[in-house]
Amino acid sequence: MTVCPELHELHEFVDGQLTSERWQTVDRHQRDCGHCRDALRSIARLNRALMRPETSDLGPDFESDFRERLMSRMVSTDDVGRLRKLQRRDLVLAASLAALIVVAISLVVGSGQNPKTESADLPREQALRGPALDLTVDLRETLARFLDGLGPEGPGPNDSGLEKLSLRFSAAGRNLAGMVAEEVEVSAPDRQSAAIMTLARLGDSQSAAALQRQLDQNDLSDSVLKTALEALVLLKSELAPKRIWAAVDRLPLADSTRLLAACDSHLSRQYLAQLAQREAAEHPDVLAQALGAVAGRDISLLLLELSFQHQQTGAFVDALSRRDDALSEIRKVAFKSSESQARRELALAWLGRLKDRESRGILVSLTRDQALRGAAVAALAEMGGPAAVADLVTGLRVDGSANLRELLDANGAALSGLIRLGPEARTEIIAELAQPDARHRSAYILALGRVANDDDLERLAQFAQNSEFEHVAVAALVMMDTAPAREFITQLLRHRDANLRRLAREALEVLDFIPIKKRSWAGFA
Amino acid sequence: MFVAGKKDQEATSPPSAHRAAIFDELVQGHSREIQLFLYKLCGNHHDAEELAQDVFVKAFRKLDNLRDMAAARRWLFAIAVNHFNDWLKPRGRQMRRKALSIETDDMAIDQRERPLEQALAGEFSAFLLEAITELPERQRSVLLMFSATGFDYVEIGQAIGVSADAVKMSLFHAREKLRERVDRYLKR
Repeated sequence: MTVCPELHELHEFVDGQLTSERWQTVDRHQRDCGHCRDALRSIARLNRALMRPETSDLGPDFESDFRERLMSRMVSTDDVGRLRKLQRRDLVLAASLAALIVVAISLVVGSGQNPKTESADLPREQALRGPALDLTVDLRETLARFLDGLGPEGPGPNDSGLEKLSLRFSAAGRNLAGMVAEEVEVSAPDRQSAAIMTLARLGDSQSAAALQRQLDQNDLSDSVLKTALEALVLLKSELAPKRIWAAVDRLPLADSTRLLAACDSHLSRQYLAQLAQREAAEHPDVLAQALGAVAGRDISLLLLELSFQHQQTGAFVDALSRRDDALSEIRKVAFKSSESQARRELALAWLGRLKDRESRGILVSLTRDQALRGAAVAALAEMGGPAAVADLVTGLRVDGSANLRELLDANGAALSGLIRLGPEARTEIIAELAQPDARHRSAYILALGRVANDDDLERLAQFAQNSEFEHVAVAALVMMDTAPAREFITQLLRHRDANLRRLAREALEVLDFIPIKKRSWAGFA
Repeated sequence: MFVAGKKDQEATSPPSAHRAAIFDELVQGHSREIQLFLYKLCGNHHDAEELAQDVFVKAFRKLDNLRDMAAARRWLFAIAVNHFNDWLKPRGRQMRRKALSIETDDMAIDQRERPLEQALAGEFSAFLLEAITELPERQRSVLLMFSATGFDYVEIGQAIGVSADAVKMSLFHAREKLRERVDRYLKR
């Protein structure tokens, strides 16, 4: 007996895929080999199970029924658009298919409908439905009814009615864009607008040309002009920015900026920048909204520049804060030493508004910059959030060697920032007073004074009598600057500790010496 | 997974002018066998018809890929197998069992008169379909095409863009996995 064939050869044997010579060899072998015979039986059994018998007779009319159902289905999907393109390539050969589709539409949408009972207040539906199989219906009247049913805003982006109308025109061998263009010229404004937007949705070169012709006319009303420009933008025409710019004095600023923003080309950005420089002072919100809708670093820089130029309005900063590249642009200004102090401080303020982790990090790092500390702290305070107290207190200088005035001057800005955080900050500060680190506690003692709550007087008084913290505790009482705090400081003048008596004298001098600051502090409190 | 075969792509493209007519010809010439093929795979008429319609909608969308009318049948079957695989994926075991129970409803009256036989046949079909579903996609596709269309290794390879040897090996592995499970099932 020959050697058993490989298992895959047994499969090929059953499939009839072996050469005749090899097939005979395997055949001879399996007659003598029970193992291979069993395997072949098993393979054949599986193959039989896989070959499910055909138990279905689909009937003689299957193909035509299938095709009809298929066409109905394709009409209800985007495939109609593809079919239209196909028809454009060869109207004659595709006409039979288009006619089939029209038949299918008529059968689908017209089935079970009695035209005599249709509602007269649905002209568009009626126009689309049309009498089944009747391709000689007056297409112009059908188009007019379709346009009247749309309203001036025209068809939506995937208007099935327009698709069906287009098919009816194709099947009748008529050009829809041409007839819509004629409607633009002869109709009343509402139908005119609907026709213009229909041209935009048709989106072919003939529709674009018809739109251009309309815009060349000087007698368009302002509303129709606006619609035509919208249509041109919708068509993504390269000429759109120039056309909009030419009409900029006839359109409301909001419309011209919105349309230019929608063009999003190099030219439209230039026009937008010109409009922004011209109108930003008068209409910051309109410009900010339009610029905010356009991506790109050049627009971010423009918004940043406008935000510097027009600080009184937050519109440009708000628009800037919604942009992904805003942070990097603002950060560059904040860190750039060649920028003016005013611009850098403003940049920090903008960072404070962005309220993101990166901005917080930048601001914390800039609290170490003597020139920018005040602005950085104020921005951190503006930013708020869970880490704000820690950020601000971390920036405090509580050097025990400084006199009270130096201590207060060095920390005035950061302490002012604390006040902006509101009463919640007090709870956090009090919790931190229990920390063992002396410098840490000193900073929070000073911060507690700035919160200026008389309930904390006793707490501060205790720290004042601890030689390790007396310096900052008295400074905190000065910060507190309430009647009970002053009274307590006055009592310290009679304290047995000479150093404390000296601090109390210094404190009262500071309090008398800074009446203006007192007023501003009272305002914060 | 399936792509038009290289041979197909290299062949001369039919003039665009004939495309509508070509699609019509595809529907006229192959809708019946595609629907029957899908009926064999999914086991009930309703799903088979839906699937067949899907296949021709897909074919219409991909009509530009069909470069050689001689390969049209193979091309359509490739779309059908691909689509069936997609259809099968999200359906759980229960759905497949349900599909097969619908099939038994479609069976001829003489089978309805033999409920035990019908039930056994239904259970085995459900078992087999489940086993097929668990095969890797290429193995399953090759197996379905080979079992239901009569294409040889070379034709299947051309349809799915792999060599005849790869088809042979995929088919071998698929059938061996199934054979083992079927043998175990029959010995229960």
